Amino acid sequence: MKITFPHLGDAYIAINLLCKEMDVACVIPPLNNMETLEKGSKYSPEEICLPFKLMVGNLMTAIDNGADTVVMVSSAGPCRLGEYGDLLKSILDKNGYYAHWILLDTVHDVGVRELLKRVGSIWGGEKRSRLKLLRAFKGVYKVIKSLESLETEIHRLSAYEVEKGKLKKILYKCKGDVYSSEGIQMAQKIIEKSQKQMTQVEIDKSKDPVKVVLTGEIFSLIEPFSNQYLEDKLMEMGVSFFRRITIGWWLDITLVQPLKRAKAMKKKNAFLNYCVGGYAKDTVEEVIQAKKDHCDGVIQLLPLGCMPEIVAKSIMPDMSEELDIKILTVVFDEMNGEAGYITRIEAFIDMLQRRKKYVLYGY
Amino acid sequence: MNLILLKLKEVFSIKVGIPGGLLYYRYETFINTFLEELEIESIFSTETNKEILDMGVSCCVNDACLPMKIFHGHAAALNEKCDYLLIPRIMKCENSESICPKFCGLPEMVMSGIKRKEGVITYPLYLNRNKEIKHYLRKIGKDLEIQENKIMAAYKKAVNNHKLQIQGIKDQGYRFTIFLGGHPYNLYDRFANMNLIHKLHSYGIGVITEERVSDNEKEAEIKPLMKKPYWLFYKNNYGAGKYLVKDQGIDGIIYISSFSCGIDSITIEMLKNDIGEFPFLILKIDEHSGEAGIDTRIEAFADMLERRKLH
Ligand code: SF4
Ligand code: SF4
Repeated sequence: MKITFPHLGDAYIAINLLCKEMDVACVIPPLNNMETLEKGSKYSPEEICLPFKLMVGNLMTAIDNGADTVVMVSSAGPCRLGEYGDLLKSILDKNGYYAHWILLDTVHDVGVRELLKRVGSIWGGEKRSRLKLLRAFKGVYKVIKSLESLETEIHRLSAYEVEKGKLKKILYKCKGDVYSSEGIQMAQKIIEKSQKQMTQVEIDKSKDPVKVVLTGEIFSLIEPFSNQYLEDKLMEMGVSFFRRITIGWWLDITLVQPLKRAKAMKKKNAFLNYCVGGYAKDTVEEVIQAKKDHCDGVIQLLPLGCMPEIVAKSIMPDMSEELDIKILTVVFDEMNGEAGYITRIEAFIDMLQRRKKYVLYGY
Repeated sequence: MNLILLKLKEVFSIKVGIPGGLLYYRYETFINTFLEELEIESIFSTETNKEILDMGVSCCVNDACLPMKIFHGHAAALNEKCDYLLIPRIMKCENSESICPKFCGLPEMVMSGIKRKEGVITYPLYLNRNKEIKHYLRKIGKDLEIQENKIMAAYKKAVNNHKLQIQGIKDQGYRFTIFLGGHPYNLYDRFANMNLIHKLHSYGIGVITEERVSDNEKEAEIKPLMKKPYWLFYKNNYGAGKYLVKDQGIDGIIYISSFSCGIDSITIEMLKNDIGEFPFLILKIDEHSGEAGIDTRIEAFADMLERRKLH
């Protein structure tokens, strides 16, 4: 059995490690690129959101490359991810891409036993000890968390670099090495090394870069191809930025600390008090937090037609006015010429810089 | 003297505005009975028209779908005229199905669109539990200072009337019958769909809608899926469409959908993939849709049905 899965940011790094630990063969689709998108768009309904199209492309290529089992996370909730499974399968089947499908649903929807059964079936029904899986999962979770904290730090720091580009290089080198590492232990060592390298990079503390928070729809945020490598560009532009939403964050809210999450969802704010599906409430809360953290602006990303984020988007003008914070909403679709959207981001950053310079109000 | 009393009543009576869009089409009887029983003075927006659409388009976020824009228009039309604006926040549907995220965030969208913060009723509505519905109505009662027993009596009457109301359409006596798929507001808003049902009739095409296929029959059709669909509109239309094709009682399917509806993008594709070679026409509408385009497509579809019948 050879499993595969659609791309979601750096998830492939984690899943690859997990499979190595568990001795499961897996086929990782090539990182999202134009070809993935073209393939995906050709076979997907025209109006479905971008993530879906990329997933179609991923899975088709992976099956071509020898995968025979698709593993997908499918969480119930009023958004599309949960309904993706059947449509993906239907489209792949129709076009002759057959595979065995394992949908990982939440415990809430299918019960613990069924979920464990499904997870177990990934190891070909062999009775591997759950303990081993648990240990592997814990290890991988830690790796992902430390990789993300390195990334977060670099996003924040790269704007202060004396020699531009060094930190970015460290980050990508680290990701690449972790991906090809043999196992959890080695991966941890690699990250530690990169962390050390990071602290040695020369920093100019007198700089006062624009500070921005990235928020919005999860896929667009963490899948670099779908936001056309926005983070690289921000680093190049010398913007110090923060993105809370990561694979690790997602693991926390769904698997690691679901109770804490449930509590957080009940928390009220002045703009949106209900979970409308997707992570729209989080998007709104990120803006409030950004204000508290004295950020200069917020960039909200969403794919065209994304339902929950449209709700968030429609509240943005009010938030911007009441909180006095600048917000830019960028809607991605497959036709977005790269140039057009970069100009908008540049103009936004320019505006923030000017605002910072001229409007001196005390904090 | 009487005149003064009347005037006074006018001044002091509270007016509640009910926007006539989205699921108003489904719950019209319930809403109207409830309000009438309580003698609440309510203002309804008219049927959708050009003015309402234009208002909606100008105050709603531009990437929203047509029904959302229309609802915004209805709300905007009532905005100045009412003390309370009722904007339902449906969180769960009658059989615990989920609904589109835009319904859950509807009050926020509208309030931000029409710039109204005060006097908007936005409590969450869980239609799957009677207790929750009563709770919802009680809260409204409190806002309007109405006694609880009155509210409950009105609720009972409203539920009864709602149950008596036959939902959906099942035409008989036409040359052809098709399954007309889509969400209630797209099916029954004659302005938005350019009087679609009337048009179909004029081509000798009768329609059946999703409401006329029983839940059991729908359930049986969605059983083979890996995962039970949790979206109301998906389950209803996919289940009903598949059932009717299998049942052979229809000659074709017409699905009316609004551009950029995430739920329909799935429903339509799943239906298409599952019914094989079967006449299937998809009509997509938005604020720019022209009537001529729709007419030609219906005509071509009717021709095709005719040819199939002859062979
Ligand atoms: S949150 Fe948006 S992008 Fe994600 S599945 Fe839902 S509609 Fe698609
Ligand atoms: S279900 Fe579709 S048509 Fe209805 S409001 Fe949501 S996106 Fe719009």
